[in-house]
Amino acid sequence: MNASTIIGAVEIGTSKVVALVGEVVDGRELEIIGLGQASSQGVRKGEIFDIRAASDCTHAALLAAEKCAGAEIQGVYLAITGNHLDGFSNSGVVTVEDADNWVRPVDIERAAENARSKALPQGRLYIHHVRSGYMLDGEPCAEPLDRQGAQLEAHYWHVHGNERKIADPMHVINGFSLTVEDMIVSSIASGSMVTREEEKKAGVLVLDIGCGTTDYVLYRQGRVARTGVIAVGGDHFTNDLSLGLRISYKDAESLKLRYGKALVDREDKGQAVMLVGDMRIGDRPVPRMAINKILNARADELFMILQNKLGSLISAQNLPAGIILTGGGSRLQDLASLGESILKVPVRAARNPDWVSNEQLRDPEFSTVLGLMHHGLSAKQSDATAGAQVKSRRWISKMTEIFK
Amino acid sequence: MAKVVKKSPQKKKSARKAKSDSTWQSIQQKNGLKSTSSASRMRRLKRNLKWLGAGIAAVVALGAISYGLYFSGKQIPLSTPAHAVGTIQQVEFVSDGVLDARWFQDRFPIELGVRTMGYDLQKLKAQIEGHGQVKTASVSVSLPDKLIIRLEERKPLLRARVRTPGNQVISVLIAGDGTVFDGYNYPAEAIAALPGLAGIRFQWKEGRIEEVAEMRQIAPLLETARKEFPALYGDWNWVSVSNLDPDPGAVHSVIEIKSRTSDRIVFAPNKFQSQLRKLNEVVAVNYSQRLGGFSKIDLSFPGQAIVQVRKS
Repeated sequence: MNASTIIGAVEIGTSKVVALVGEVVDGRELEIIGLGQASSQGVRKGEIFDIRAASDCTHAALLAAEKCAGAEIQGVYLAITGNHLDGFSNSGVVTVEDADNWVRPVDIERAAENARSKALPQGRLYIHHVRSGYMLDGEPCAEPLDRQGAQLEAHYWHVHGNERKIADPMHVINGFSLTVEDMIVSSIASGSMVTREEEKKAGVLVLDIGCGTTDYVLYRQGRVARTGVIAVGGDHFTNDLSLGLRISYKDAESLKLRYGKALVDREDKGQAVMLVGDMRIGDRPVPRMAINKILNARADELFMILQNKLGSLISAQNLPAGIILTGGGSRLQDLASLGESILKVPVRAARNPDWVSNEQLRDPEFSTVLGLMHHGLSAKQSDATAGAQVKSRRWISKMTEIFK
Repeated sequence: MAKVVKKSPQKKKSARKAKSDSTWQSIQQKNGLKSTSSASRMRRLKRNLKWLGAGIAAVVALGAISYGLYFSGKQIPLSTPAHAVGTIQQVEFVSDGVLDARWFQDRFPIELGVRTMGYDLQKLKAQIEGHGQVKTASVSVSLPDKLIIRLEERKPLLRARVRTPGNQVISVLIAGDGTVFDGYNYPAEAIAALPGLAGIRFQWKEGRIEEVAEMRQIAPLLETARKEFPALYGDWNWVSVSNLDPDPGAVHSVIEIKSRTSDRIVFAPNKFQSQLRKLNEVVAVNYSQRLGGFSKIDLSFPGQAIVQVRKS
């Protein structure tokens, strides 16, 4: 009989909550069997400010997903974002214990412990300790095990956040009688979906432009080198349009989706588009140039903030694979072109992998939940492998006892 | 769904706690947290109902299994000794006639110890009813160990002497439905009192004498006479059907009887009640006036009795 586990992936975003249900068979295969979505409430810039409202919409999405799947979720993989998230790089340095300076697993483990041991300020909690590489006697080293060297250095990128803001989405999930199996930063989740291994090795930056925030993850030498959150998202573009054109937020969102472009073309000059398009009372022409100038200004600001945050890391040398735009905000026309002109590196729109058979799920706004699912599958694979190794060890020890 | 063995988050948490207390896993997850939304409450209710349903189903299934085991143990023993419950140990024989248990045992020996439920009752019933003296047989089982046979016998109205295909002469009895049978266990005087049948050729088929078709016409006469005029019936010596036509409308069709007081009594094959009443009157006159008997009494003409007194 096939052993299967039903796992859930939940992203509590600023504009909507997405819940995916997947079935992991024998810890090897993943099949997505349910999708539930609900308009988000009680969430601002990726952070929960009204836990009751956030619970209502999250639980509605979970219930819809379970109903669609026809199965009950056993554990949830939760995405986390927000301006409270921060990261830093820290290294753990150890002297190799072996007399002949052969690096053993215990040396690697000690280096990792050292790297992780840095205390955080009160009210902050670690979310990830991502290993970004090793140095052996000052030289970069992909795999130090069984190599000779005197000093081993393990580099880690640590992601941490505010304890209360981390606890809030967990309690929302707990309120649905579910347990959070693992928590993953949104950018890492979406980055794992839209990048290929060779791109990660070459160096690539993934920009997940959500509604309230923009999450980024930088990969170098196949590993996560940097993550971060910029408190600018698609919401800001809409808000700018609403204020600049003195129109409602709803109309501004509609204009952005229908006609919005991040670049200002000469052709736009003198052109106008109808605000609503149905010729109702209050419908009026809006200059296209005005729309695009407003959007361009905000997009320009977003890329400038990014450049300021990452500095020299954004360069053609450091990012041969360029920048990949994902998330709902990346749908803005000409955003990639604008990014290229500002950052001077290739920028392209992301596409979810081909194994995602559902056409709807291939849209960039589902990258994060799909990444969570992928992470869930990897975790179950690790569990299955660990279980098999334990069984194998037990069998060997039993055989040894027989021959004693 | 298959069960999956997986590490619980708490285990992971405790493992990582050793490394650092300041990870997100250190936040206590309250799975029993009060439901904060209607969707959550609905899910919890559905889950509770599902568990309740499963519990009830399990209890019902357990009860059904226990019930089945208890009663199967009582009714169907796995091994049954010959003398034990469930095999035929008694045979009850009841008949409304002269046949008795010995006759039954001689012809249909029942092997005791045979499983009651496995006995072929229909076969035994057919075998019993194959005997001419038996009109109907009822064979039943009274649990746990009794076989019951109830018979309804044919009543003989006439007797006859018949030559067999082997050229032997045997006595047979004839019932009202025309069935010809040997007659077992009748008292000799009862047989002797029966009138004889004349004017017919018996037909043999497959070792048995075929039914006498004429009996369907004369049986009502004989039955009425036996019940209502037993003195007349007791006086009859033989009944002849030689002039009886199978067509009930034939004018020349008559039943002829010889009795001690009359050499020839002629009946029309219908309205027997009135003919017998008239005969009774004629016989009464015979006794009162001491006529010495009749050579012929013809009752076949409606409302009349043509009488010819025996010459002395």
